[in-house]
Amino acid sequence: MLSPKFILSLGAILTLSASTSALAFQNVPSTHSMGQSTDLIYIGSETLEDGAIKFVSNLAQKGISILENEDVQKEQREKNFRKLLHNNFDMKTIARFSLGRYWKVSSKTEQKEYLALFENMIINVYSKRFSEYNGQVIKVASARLTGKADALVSSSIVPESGPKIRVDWRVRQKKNGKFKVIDIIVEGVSMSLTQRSDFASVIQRGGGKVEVLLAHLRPKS
Amino acid sequence: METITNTTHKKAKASSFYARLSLIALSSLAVSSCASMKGNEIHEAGIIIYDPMEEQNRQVMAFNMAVDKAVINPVIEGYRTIAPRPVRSGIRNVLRNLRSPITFANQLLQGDLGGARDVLLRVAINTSIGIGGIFDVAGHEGIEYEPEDFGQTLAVWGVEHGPYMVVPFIGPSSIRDYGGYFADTIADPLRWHLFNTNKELLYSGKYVVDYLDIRDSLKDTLDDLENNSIDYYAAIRSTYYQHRKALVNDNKSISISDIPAIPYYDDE
Repeated sequence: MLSPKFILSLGAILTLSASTSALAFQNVPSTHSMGQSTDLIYIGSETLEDGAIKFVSNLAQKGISILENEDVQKEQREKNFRKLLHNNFDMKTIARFSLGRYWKVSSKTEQKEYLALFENMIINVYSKRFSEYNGQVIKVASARLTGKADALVSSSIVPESGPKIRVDWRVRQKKNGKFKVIDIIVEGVSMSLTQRSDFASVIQRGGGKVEVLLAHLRPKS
Repeated sequence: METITNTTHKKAKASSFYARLSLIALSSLAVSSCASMKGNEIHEAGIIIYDPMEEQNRQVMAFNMAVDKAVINPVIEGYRTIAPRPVRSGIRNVLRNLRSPITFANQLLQGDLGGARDVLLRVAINTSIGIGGIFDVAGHEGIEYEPEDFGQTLAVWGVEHGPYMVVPFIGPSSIRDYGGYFADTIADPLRWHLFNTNKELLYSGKYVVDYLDIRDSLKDTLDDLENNSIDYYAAIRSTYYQHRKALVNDNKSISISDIPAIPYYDDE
């Protein structure tokens, strides 16, 4: 159904790249809604939720400052942004999730090629989506635990005019203590889930062969 | 939005008209969903995608895309040229304001009293201070627009999507949601009023502007999805189901059971 909200929510993906003018950044202290704690999640006295909020806030701030930096050439800006994505997204996890059950039926060679192609594609997609961003207010509001090392960080992107867009970041704390993004959910739509649906359909319609997907991904990188 | 009401847990009180319509919709759904809900279902993160008519749906989508390319997209470009962003946003606000009776009825049917009150407040504020609904003053004050339709109401009542369908000229839907769209259109008091006062043409005009507004606001996102997917059909379908689910939950807060499990692959 083409309800207006459908537009908005989908529009959210693109609204990230729609240009407005205010540059601001706010970080509202977290609210802890779930108290399940395991010994794994504490670094010093900081909870996983606090760490996750800080991570998303910093990431957004870094992203904005890269994209807002008019002093460097467009190519350099893009390069910096790609590096930021590479360093802060858990590409391997996103890639494996997106391939779903077909990961296990792929050969080692296919898996290796897929991982490389996927990272390249995701970075292309996200840098395209964010590159026209000229500054909007992003409010990081709260975080909830969603797993032993996972948190869901809620934020909203507030354009200069029009309704705000709800963006939830799924982040995971890796063994070395560093946080990485494992999914972005825009107005309830998970980028990874959509990706997985897309890939599954391509492979299924291609007779269940992962090679069919790889063939589609190759020209994209 | 000050109150967070979980609509799914509230009992809905049906008014006569919607109740009758919903009975028809429900009975047809019951038939269709009992038929064969096996085989070609896709389960993902609490969402069941059931697409038994996939091949036909893909053909309709190809048709829709051809129409978009030949007619709709040029018209949208024209609309954007004639009407700059503030004008278009004013038009959108007016259309939403006109939709208030439908939104209000569905909030009530879902048992969302807070939502129903917000609709009334929005109409009162936006029609007066917002000059006939052109300016979304209420939204600025934190009473934001919340889209409601009868498809969502049916979902709150526990009705499943039934088969996925791509509707000519409209796009992704399901038996439930398309039935809901139909019910909303039929029940719209504005439609009744204009038809009873021999202003059918005015209603048709409003319908066209409505359509244009929706397509205008969807365009950039759909272009993005098309450019960044391999199987555009599957990407839209997944997005549709996820998005409808978020709408039914009033997009308030994602419940943890709704997000897909992402395994700890490093632990393997």
